[in-house]
Amino acid sequence: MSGYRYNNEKINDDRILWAELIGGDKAALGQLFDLYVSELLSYGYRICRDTELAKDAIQDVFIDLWMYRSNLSKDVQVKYYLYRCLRNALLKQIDNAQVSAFGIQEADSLEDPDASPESQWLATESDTRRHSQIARVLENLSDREKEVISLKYYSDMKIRQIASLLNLKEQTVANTLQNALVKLRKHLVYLLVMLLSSY
Amino acid sequence: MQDYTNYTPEDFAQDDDFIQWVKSPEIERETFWQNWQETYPFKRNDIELARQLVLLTRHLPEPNVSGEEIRAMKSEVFRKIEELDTPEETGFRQLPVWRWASAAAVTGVLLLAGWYMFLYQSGTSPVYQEMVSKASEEYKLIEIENSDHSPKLINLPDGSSVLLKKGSRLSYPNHFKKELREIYLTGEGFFEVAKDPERPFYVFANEMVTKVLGTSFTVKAYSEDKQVFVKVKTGKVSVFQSGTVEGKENFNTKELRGLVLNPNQEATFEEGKVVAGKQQDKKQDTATDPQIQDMMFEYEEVTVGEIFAQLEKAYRIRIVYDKTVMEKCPVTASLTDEPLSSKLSLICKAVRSDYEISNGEVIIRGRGCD
Repeated sequence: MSGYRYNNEKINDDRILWAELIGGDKAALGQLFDLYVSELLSYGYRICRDTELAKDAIQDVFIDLWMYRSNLSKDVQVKYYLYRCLRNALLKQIDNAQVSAFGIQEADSLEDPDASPESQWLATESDTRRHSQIARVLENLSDREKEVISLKYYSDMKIRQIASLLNLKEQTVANTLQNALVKLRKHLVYLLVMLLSSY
Repeated sequence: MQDYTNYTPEDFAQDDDFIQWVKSPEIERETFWQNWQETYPFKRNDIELARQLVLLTRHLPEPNVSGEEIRAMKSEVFRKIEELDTPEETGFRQLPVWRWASAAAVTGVLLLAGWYMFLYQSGTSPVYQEMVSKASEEYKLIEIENSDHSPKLINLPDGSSVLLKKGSRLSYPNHFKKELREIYLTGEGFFEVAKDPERPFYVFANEMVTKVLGTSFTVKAYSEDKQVFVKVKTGKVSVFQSGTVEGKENFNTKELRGLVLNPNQEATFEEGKVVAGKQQDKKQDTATDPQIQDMMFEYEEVTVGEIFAQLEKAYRIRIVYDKTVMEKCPVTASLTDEPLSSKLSLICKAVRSDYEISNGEVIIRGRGCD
């Protein structure tokens, strides 16, 4: 489980690297890659649930950055821009392959049909098991809710950025986040009760 | 400060300051939120729920990708960029670079790797044209002609390297097949083939095929004399006539059949026959520069600066590195006939650095050797 990152210096760094990239510095491209590859992998994987697809799309994004560097705008939020490129690249591919994804449809295909809170938490036998069940709580969210949660808590994006990334209104994103948290809280209360009663 | 008294657990869980506190509590935030809970004890449960909500998001699905895979992705990005930037030349597949603790470890690995060979032919032989046009039905071919005076280094997609002599031409697919590697030569080249026994490497020159499982060797196949000459520097190769039934069998097996050549042995193909033994030395280069096929790459406590200088000469390539930090680093290694890419990656391991090939230059990045 990778942790959270809080690199404020990243933001200053990446603007410099971005300018160098536009100026034709290949090393800057490599450094941007190093800086963002792991969070892009997480984000890409969460969109398509396919590691290879995510890897390919990320490579394409960086190749395109280089090939079209002279057309890039100097004044962008680099991280947001990279997420946006990756998302577009993946959606294009997913569209072709007709795979369900975050945001494309509010698919509930990933939900386990009998994933009621009860059935999920009754058999909390071991830590590993509990761990995977916590992960399953998140599976009760719709794809869009998961994507918003991921962008908010994992990628530290502002509602405004999430809205623009997903082509949604800010209010829609705020509502989605609120609904997701309410859902999670319901499962969580159940979880806490189970934990307490098991001691 | 925000008035948090009316916050629900969901509200807390959306508050940036609160999220920061949960994820990485620093002294200032820790103090604030502890005090706040002291002041509003009835909110403790809500705070705890909100904290759990934020923590729950740590369990989002994660892809399982190793550091090595990430490095391979990066190399692939740079390889493609190189390929797109210079459309007539493919880039270079950089081997994954692992960090190695000591130069001593490198030596052991090096002894396992490598072979090489060389091959000649000049002018553009009709056989070459025919082979290339036939192969281009199957592959997207890249053709490189060296019109310069000095030999030209070509990095093949599998990491093998070829030093192509003046006036010679080489064609190779932009991607090799899974089961074999085929290239076409007219003129002369020195080959260092990346070891891959599952994927034999074939050099087609005039009517002779040289088959390698990983080795270094020279092939000379100048069109006007219809003669093909092969000399092995390290490893083993087999040579046979192309287009015959026997040749086909030799081609398809994973073993080396036909006439098998060992280091320092050579063979000539003439008048439809493969003959072992010395060539008539009419095409030998008279240059006084040491030729790569005669060089040794054995280093005992040799500085990186000297090694790079030798590689620059052998491969006619520029190596760019920070002399002030790296030049004096000592390396002990026994490099023989692995392609340039492997040589670089092994040396880089020894001095804890990375390399990249860009615009025909090798760029080394490292912090030196303490």
